[in-house]
Amino acid sequence: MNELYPEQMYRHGVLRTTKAWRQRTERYRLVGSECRSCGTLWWPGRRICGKCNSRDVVERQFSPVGELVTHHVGQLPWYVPPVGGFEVYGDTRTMALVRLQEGVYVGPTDVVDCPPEKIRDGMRLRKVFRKLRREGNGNWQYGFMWIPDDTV
Amino acid sequence: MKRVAIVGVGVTPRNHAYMRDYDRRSWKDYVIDGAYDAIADVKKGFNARDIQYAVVNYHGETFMEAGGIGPVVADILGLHPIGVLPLCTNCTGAGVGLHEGYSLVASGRYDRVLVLGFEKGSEVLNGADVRALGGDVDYDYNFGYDHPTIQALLQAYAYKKWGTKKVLRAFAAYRMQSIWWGTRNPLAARWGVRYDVTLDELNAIIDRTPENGPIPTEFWARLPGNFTVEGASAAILVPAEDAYNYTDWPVFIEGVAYKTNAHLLSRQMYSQALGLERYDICDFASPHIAVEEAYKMAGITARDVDFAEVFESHITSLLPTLAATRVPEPDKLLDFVIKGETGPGGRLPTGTNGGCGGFGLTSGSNFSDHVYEAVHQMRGDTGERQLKKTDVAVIVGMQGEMASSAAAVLRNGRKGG
Repeated sequence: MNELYPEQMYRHGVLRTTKAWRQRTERYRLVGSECRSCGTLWWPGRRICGKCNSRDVVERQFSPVGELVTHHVGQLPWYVPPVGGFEVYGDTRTMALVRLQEGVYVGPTDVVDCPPEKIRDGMRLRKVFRKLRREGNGNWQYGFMWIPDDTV
Repeated sequence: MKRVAIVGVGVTPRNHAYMRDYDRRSWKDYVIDGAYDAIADVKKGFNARDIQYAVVNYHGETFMEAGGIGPVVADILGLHPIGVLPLCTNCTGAGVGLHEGYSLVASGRYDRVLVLGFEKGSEVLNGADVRALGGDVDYDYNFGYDHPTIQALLQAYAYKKWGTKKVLRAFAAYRMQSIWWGTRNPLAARWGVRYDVTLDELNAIIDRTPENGPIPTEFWARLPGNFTVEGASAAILVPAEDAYNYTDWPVFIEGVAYKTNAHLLSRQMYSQALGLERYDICDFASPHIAVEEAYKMAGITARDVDFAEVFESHITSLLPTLAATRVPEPDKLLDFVIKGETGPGGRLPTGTNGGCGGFGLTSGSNFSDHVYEAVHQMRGDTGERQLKKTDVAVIVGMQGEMASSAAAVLRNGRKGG
């Protein structure tokens, strides 16, 4: 709705506040799961172990550091625009796949706060908490991104 | 289990003459045209009312503002009160439909089943939703990733694994080959469409590309892209023992399978599910496992396969689906493509209708488009595209971000052949 079109627009997106809320531990703290039967780790978390099918699965918070496995620097103009709401991150974006210390992979995800030309596969990364995009009701949706880990 | 045969196939054209009126056609028009084309293709008389059950796939419910479409499909086709099973399994979904249709006939439950795939991508419920479909959504789309961005990341990994120039050379070779097939297929989106680039010109751009540097935008600008279109295609399935009552030229479904792996890239790289550990985001588990099962069911090996129709919208889908056929040696996969082994006269002619770049990318019907082409290749009526040896074909589909795959092995059943 806006001044020009005061009626409720009937087309609306898929983002839901409750959905983001349900996933908050995974999004905010990188909480996944660990199978107590076979020891397999998973992110995102799951209720049934995908390896041994045990239901004895508990939450496991993963380390906030990892290694860049592969990346792609995308620059506008692309042949399609960014996913709605992500325009705020500008016209250059580093997409990434990250391997955590525990061996679990996370991604697709973003590397930020680093010039693209300095990004190299194999570099150490640290998780940061960032705004992702604004939902239809005005709420911000949060999640993680990654920055170079210069603490080592 | 009964052996199953295809006795009729139908397709809506993707050429400009048909597609220029796309805004005048609804998804129902495509379904009707595809289904009744298949019905009319059954040479020895077949009435629509002979169909006992139908399986219909489309990309996803937000693609054309309708869900739960089974009763609607039965209605518009004049088939009430038969059951219609709707599927939304993206680009491999019509193959899932073939799998389900096969099972219904093989089990003896039904004797005449319609399998149809269709797409009406221009009536989307919501652009954002469409870009979310075919992904994990929770942990990719909601983190700002959709088909194009995930594909970019997949390609980056392919460059790293295989070498940038080699990947680009393979994709350029394959795409120009698709143009060759597509410009010789009167039903294809490329039919009569001019293109102004040669493989030599694309290779010259690749020569100037640094191995670890950015790919010139000129390459992507000149490389013919996917031709996204709409339409439908269909097949009529019957027990093999009845096939010659309907046609002198059935095609037998000797093997069919449908397998899944995770949608999320990170889980594809680190799948601890049994049997999936050895696959990464360059080769994907599902097509390999599906083809393996389809071959086993058909009692064949890669040596028996004459040609292939595979999902190949990007290099990142071509390589796993082609590798899954097991015809190219695993370490020579890209060389196989670069040397033209997937082209006319090659060891494994692939994408002979023109594929996504030539015939057209029509998500809900990709697999049934492949079936249509394979059946006509076996009948020997594909004109300039006609292959010499068409006894056995393998079809490999791919869903979404490489999360599932249907596969089928077809055998030429010409009477007395």
